[in-house]
Amino acid sequence: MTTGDSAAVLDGLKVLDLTEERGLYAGKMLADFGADVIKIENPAGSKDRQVGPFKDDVPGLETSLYFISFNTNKRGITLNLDSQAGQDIFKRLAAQADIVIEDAEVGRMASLGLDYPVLRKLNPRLIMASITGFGQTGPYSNYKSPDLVSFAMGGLMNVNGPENAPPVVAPCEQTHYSTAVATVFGILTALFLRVSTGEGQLVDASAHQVGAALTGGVWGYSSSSQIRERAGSQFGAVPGRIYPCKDGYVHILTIRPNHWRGFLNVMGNPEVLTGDEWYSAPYRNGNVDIIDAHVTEYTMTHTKLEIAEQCQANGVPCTPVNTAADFTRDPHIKEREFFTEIEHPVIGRHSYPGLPYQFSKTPCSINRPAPLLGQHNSDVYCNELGYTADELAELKAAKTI
Amino acid sequence: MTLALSGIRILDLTDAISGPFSTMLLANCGAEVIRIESLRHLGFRFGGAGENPGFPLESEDFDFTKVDTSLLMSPNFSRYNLDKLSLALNLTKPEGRDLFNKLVKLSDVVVDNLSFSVMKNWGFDYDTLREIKKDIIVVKIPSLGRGPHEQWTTWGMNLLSFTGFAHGWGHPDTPMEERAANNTYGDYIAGMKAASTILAALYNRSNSGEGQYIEVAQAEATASMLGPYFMDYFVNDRVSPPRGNRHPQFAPYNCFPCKGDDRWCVIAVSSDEEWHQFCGALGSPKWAEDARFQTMENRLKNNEELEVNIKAWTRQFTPHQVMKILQSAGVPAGAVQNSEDLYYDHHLRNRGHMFTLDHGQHGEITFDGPPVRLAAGQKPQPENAPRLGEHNDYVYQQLLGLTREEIRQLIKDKVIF
Repeated sequence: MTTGDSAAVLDGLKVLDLTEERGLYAGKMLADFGADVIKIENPAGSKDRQVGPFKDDVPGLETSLYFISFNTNKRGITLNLDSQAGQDIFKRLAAQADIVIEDAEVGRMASLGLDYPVLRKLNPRLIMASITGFGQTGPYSNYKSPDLVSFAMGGLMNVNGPENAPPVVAPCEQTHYSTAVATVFGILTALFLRVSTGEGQLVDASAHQVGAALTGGVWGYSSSSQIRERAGSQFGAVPGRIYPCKDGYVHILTIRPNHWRGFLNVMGNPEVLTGDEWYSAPYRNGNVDIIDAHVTEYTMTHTKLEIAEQCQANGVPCTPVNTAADFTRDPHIKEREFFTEIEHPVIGRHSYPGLPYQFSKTPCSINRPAPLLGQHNSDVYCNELGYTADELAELKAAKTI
Repeated sequence: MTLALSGIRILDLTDAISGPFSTMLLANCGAEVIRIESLRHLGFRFGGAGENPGFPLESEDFDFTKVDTSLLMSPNFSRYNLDKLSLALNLTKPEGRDLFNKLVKLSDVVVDNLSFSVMKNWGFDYDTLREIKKDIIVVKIPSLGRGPHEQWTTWGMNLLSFTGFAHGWGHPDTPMEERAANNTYGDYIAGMKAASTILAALYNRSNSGEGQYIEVAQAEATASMLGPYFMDYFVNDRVSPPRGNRHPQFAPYNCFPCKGDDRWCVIAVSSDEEWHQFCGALGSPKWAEDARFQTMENRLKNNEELEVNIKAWTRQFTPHQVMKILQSAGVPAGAVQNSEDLYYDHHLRNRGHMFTLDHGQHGEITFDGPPVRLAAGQKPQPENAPRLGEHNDYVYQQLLGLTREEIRQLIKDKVIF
């Protein structure tokens, strides 16, 4: 897909996207980078169309904001992979594709006769990514792994939540998206390798492995023999958490000594806190009440933007705590035009989170809303695979598409 | 084995997590990543062990005469700098910047997360660097990117609060102050996304012959992981409160206490079929036959009573026992693993995903492998992070062809550390 005169960074790359859950964001990232990503759904619609939130809370094939959010920039076709005819068509598409992404349970693609060894024979250059909870091999590979299970097993859950409450999962399905992001890294590495070898490969992505990597638990335990405990928003030396202020909340950190020095300035150098002993993190952490009294005396008389600006001017890492609404109104985010408005034929014109990648020569943007069910069937089947309108009607009648 | 990025040279001017993590992923695939390091800003080389390391004195307060700086390598530093080379170079001196520019001529990618003004003042902005190497790819991973807050210093925890993550990360009754905002999830996401932009740009360059400038702002890389949360706001004008562990459409779906101190499991039943499998796995207890628990709708309505019964069952077992019993019956369930569990993780070890490196004064440290393991193109086993300046000889003598005499003079002039 092109933006103005310049092609996006992966322009010309062909991707078949069979994902319905864990891999959605991988297809989106490749589409956002400018690849031609065709989302292949079964004729009844893929599972992600059933996931909320929905526009006006009314479930429907074309009202899932979840689906709409993760399928921008993709084209969409329907194809019944459980039928022989559907499998044959998929093989024709795969023979011409650079990348196939799927996130079905282990063994599903093999049962359809569409697993990597089969597709590789048709197209040795093909890169296939299989995204599952635990990967294709190993003792847990057949375990069911929705986001909550992956989040728990990966280790990030145990350390997150208030001190005296159960561990808590992150908003949205973060193990799905983070695994997808890691998968794209694997796919693009395989793609760059293909430039020199001419051969594709199977990328076996596991949410569990990604979770472990993003938690750092193995290395953390190995190097310290300590199990970290939940501490709400508190990190490092006090003050190092979310504090209430005049008009909301701010997040203040004093990890390094210069942060503490700067924050003393911000608070007007209260005499009781100016001794050298207060530069020691353990000392500060042993005197939480004294420090918190001074911090809140300051924060409760200032707004979050005042506090953030004063802290930043003194080298203290501090930001306002935002809701979705606050974030969209932040002057920095507004000036950068991070949110992009696009028109969707059913839900209308709305803002979407934009793309966090700015490429100077190969700019990318959201140019296309998520596809309606089967929206690009004639595009792909007639214009690209050469089926006639009559043949397309037959495929429809046979429920192949 | 051919490594995917063999022959690609990357100059790495990053510190903390997101930048180093991104270049480490590339080094693991064969890129020659040269960290350009200074004695004045040792960053993560300081500090202790563990997931939540302390960061002692700033380097300007540090008495370098008393310490062998080449030994400064915290486990926290190693974790994000495996497979890299280290060059000690003083970029505050013009001669240091000349050497850097000579290296740029021999490189493919420059990555930094320094402030915009420092890079510009040093002449390391894209427009200047492309004069030196026409097809160079310059990548910046700033906190917030250009704009009104471009001078702000943030750590990953701040960005969870700034982007809306912290607002949504808690139990429904968790006060804002105690919501989860003390992890570095966003750093990793920004790092992985930045690594992908570099790979995409290298792939593009292999066709077009052109380099470019790339900016991946950490705040935006993090915020874009909340698509449905923002769409719900824009389309339904609703700011969703934190959902906690329960699911609006499914029950039982939550975190439950297990045998032991602070031990937990999760159970995620998402259909009536799984409910029947769940009851079977528990030995079809009498309470489970109650009409209030027979349909998803009823279970959601009577969730509190349902969970009381389930807790009484889960408390008899360890988290891994619950997982095994339920998963064997086809019910989604998992242990809430702590770092000790991850260290002993049966599945990761079975997949050959752990490796141990000798870490000098910190002993042997076990790491888990990269987030995605490739069948081809990636090192089977990572190498240890470099000591400060460990690769000075390789870079100054072999790459740049400096004589011993020139190097002695540069050391004397405090250009080379």
